[in-house]
Amino acid sequence: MNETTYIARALEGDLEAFNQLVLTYQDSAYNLAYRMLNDPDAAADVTQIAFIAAYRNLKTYRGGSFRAWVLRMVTNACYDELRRRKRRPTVTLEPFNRDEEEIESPTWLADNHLSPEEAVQMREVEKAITHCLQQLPEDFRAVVIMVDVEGYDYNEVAQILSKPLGTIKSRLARARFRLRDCLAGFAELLPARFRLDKEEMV
Amino acid sequence: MKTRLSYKDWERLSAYLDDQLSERERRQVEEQLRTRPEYREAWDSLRQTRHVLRQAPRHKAPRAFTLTPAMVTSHQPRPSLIWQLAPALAIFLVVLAVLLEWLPLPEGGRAMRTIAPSAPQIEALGMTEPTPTAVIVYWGGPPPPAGTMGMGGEGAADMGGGSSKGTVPEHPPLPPTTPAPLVVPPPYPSQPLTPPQATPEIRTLQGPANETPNPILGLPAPEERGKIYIATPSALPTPEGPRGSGVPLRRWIQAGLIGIALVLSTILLIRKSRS
Repeated sequence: MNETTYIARALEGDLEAFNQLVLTYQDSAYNLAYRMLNDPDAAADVTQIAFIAAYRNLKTYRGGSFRAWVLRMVTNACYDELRRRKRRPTVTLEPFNRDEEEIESPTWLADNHLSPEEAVQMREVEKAITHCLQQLPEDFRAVVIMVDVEGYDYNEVAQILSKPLGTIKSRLARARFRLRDCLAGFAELLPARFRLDKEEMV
Repeated sequence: MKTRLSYKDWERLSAYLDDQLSERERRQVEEQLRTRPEYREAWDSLRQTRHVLRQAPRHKAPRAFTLTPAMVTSHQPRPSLIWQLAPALAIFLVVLAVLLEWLPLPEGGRAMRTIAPSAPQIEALGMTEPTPTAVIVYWGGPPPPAGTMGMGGEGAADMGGGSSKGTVPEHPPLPPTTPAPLVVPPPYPSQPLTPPQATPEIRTLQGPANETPNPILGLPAPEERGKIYIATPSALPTPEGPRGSGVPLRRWIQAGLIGIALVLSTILLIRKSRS
């Protein structure tokens, strides 16, 4: 069965068909939430909430990209969560040892497919990207995550965020401009494979 | 690393990076890239930024987010209609309280006001309209005749450099103010009216003993020294009698509306903070 069939059956109330769509898009949804919130647990909660909201509001789906429609639910849920955090600030769940120092290698970042050296490099990149993304305003962050991290095209992002294409271009340019300055501070820490050679840039 | 490009330039470069420019714009950007080193530098840094972001590791969903029937049917109980409408109701009450300032009130509302007799009423009652209650203090007796107060009056003879020793006529004492009883059918039978009364008070003061009496300077005659007359016209009583806390009905209604709005808002805030 293809996506259109699943959507049609889900619209008739078939939960199993909808769950097939969930399985298709749950990684995209979770990654978006994770980058927006920088908290794996909150990202999981928001993803679940977004899928429940999607099922309950399935009748508002008017065709087009189903991924964009689902990711709009995720984005809205992320904004809700960020607003809730502003109202009730909480201490972030950074991993600390008994001496209250940050643990260098959080278990949730461990990736069994990488060598120890690669894992260290990835941690550095992850840390730099996460840090710089969190410095951005939420609207800019959402756009740059979708375009540069997730690789969606401008039109899809415009659909997800319900914004005109010009707004997406403008926010993306500003986000990249700010990230450029922020990531420059981590340039020496980035492994060689994350730097473009001069020849490559031409 | 810093370049002097406008945001428009950055926007164009960013769109160029993703091949989102029209053919004409693309040629313009390429021309700038050839001719302007700072443009080229900005372009390189943008490419580097995007390259790093694209290397960000992707995370697998920690679990399946598939839904169960229980998840999609366990609706939270919707708040009752009164709580759904409560914010609008609170705003409406506040607006109504403000508008009440200009809205005419029914007759019942006026009954709460302190009513002062109007000018025709005062005339009909034969009363004199009360003047603002300024306290007039006379040293030693009533004011002298007007003719003696100007520079050309008799009193003025005593005001020079002291060469003239003219005498100041003694002022007759004030006749006692005993107003005639006023008999008027009261407009509000339940509460009889009392006419306004001037209630002169006499207070004794210790004045200087050896000064020449002078009405202009306010120096009293020797026999009247040590006394002051204070004339305070008493306030007209209201038909409803004196009302200490004369808060009009309008104010009570406004306070009530705002009070209800405040209670609603407080309950809403508490409910919201708990949810």
